[in-house]
Amino acid sequence: MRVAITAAALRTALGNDAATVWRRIQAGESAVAPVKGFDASGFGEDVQAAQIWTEPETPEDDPALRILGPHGRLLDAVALEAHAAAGLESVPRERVGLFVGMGMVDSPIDDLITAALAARNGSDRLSLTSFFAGAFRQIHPLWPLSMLNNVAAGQIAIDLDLRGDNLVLAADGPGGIRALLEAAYAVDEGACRCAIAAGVSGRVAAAVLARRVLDRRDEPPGEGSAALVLEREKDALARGAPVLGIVRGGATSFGEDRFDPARPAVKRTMQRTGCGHAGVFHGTPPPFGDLGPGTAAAHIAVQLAAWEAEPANGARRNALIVAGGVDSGGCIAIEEAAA
Amino acid sequence: MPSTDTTNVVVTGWGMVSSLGGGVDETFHAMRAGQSGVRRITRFDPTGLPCEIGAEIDVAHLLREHANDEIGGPELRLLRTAVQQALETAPLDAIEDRLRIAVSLGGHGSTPNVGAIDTQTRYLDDDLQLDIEGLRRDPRFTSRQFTRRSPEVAPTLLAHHLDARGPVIPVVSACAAGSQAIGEALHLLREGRADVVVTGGAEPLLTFSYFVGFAILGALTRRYPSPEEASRPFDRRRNGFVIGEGAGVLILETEEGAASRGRTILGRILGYGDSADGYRITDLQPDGDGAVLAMERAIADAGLTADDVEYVNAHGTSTAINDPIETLACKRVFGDRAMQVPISSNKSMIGHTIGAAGAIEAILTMKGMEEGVLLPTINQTARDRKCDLDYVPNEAREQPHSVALSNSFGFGGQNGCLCLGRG
Repeated sequence: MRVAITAAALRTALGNDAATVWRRIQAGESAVAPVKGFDASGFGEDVQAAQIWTEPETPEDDPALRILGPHGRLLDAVALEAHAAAGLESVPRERVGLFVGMGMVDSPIDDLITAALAARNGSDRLSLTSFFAGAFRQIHPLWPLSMLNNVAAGQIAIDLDLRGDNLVLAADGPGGIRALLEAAYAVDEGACRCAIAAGVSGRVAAAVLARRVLDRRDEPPGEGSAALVLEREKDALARGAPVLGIVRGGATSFGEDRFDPARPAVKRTMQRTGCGHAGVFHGTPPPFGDLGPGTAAAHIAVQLAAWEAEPANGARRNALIVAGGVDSGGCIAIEEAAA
Repeated sequence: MPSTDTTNVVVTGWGMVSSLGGGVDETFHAMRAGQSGVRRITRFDPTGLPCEIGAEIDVAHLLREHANDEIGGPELRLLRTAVQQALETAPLDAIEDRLRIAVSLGGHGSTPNVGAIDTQTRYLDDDLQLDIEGLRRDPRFTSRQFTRRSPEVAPTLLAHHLDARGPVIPVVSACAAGSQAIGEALHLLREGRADVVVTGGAEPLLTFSYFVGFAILGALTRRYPSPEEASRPFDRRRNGFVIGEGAGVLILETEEGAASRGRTILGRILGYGDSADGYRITDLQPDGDGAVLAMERAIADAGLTADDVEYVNAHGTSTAINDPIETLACKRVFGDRAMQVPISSNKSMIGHTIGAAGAIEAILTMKGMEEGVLLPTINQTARDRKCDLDYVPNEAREQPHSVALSNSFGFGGQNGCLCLGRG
């Protein structure tokens, strides 16, 4: 496989462009800090995260923004930026695909709680009769849409007027790699001319922390998103698009290695692509936090920026981007673009 | 773009739970008789809601609860039940290389229930800040409710259950999820990334918070003479859809692999097309462009032309907007032949099973080819001038056919279409 990366965009707590993020990582900075915005002490005294989200002052004004929620807005931002950077306006809209990795959406439970409170009738117990008989009307009419994992991808297609392949995967870290791989396969097989492959981890909320406690995951969560534009190398060169790097292939693994779930995926990726193990992002929580499905694309964007900042003399470099979950892992091999 | 891959992908096992039965045959025969699975809701008291009906399954059809259901939620239990049926004709035990078994499933995880919301309200202070520590100590609260909300959990646990170690693809494109999951399974097999794929989708048991979401959106039917007459796709008196519960699971293999394992071929996945609608989150493009693209891509992917299609299993939701647009899309795809291509909607009998719909309807389409029967669209009493095709009204029709489309158009803007063939 030789699929070109022709644009990258990201939003992280360490910066909103890959060059800045790389520069700050090199300087030893970290955005991981005690959780702010709500009382997270119940999840441990030292619970930390890399947060960027600030609540807009009037989120109710725009129905689309309300439906999207923090995760959708972060995703939409990087997809639009990557689309513009790759110059995809010139590619027929029917030939541009969209492949998205989503975690658990940041559903605004507050909407339901307000309705539940209204159904208490002054007592300390919720009255189901009151709830069903009218209190439920306090639930915002757009709440159900904000619960759907696929809505953000739909909004991107609306914003960019896309008509191509359209796939939304529920995914944690390895699933972000799965979304990238499915996009790369779709491009490589000719199912679409170009693909926007993106992942996002929305607002760090109580539900996110609860899930991580249950999964016994220690790495601090991050808020952010990342998107790549993929197309066949020859197509990119033919239309004069900038080739930032090359996707050489990858693999996922599931239930094979209890202690290091990603290891089989790394091994298979190396076998399939011939890429070595230099530059492996693995095992170290990124200083912009774990972006879940957005982590892999963010790592790739930063790696490409690092290569650009520090040119090599000699053979093209490659890197393996690795993500591990509770019992699954994924790996994707990328190669430096020609000088 | 038409596929250049000539790998034939076949169905060797299938399983289903629906409001009309605990298996494929039971559901199909009830639908052939024009029965409806829509009733007044029993999972919770719907009194006072604008819609009080749904197509609930009989939980007696489900396998006994398993410890993992606590984490995977009812979606996992539904999937386990449908998978067990599918494995009867396509067991996976003999496949030594478990890395070659993939899982691709549509769904959306669980929604927080009213009980969980009630518990949380007890730990809110005057500023609506949550006392997390107090909540964690409450025995009624489990952080597993958050796990159940993650849509990848049920497919992942199912993969564990099956010892399937290949790719796990949890598709979450709402009403198109089941169809798109099967489409991804097709890709996995054609591209040689798996030998067998367990695919399909599930729609968990109705909960108040999930149901009320669609109710306040105004998507559900509000006016119906009886529950059985509420879902009436393409009929002039339609006014919204009916939510259904259920699951559909298929075992897909390459034809070569199926032959080597001595499997019976139940049906064929000939092609798949998807598209972004790119119009509105809740509405299809008025000109049906997104639907047309998905259908044309599925036909081309199968290496066929529109003239080869003999039947369409419609998305057919029974909403005022969807049905005429799907009708228009069919006219654009089939041209002068549109009046001769029968179209019917399973949702008239089992409601809209959202995450499972694409899978259940694909199975019923192939079962119809096996039986030489077109399932009807029931509740057709008033002709809509914008819906003027042959919807196989009210009664099943015996008609041999070998190639069909199954449409799924998702809330949110993802469209999927499967081109299916007889086994």
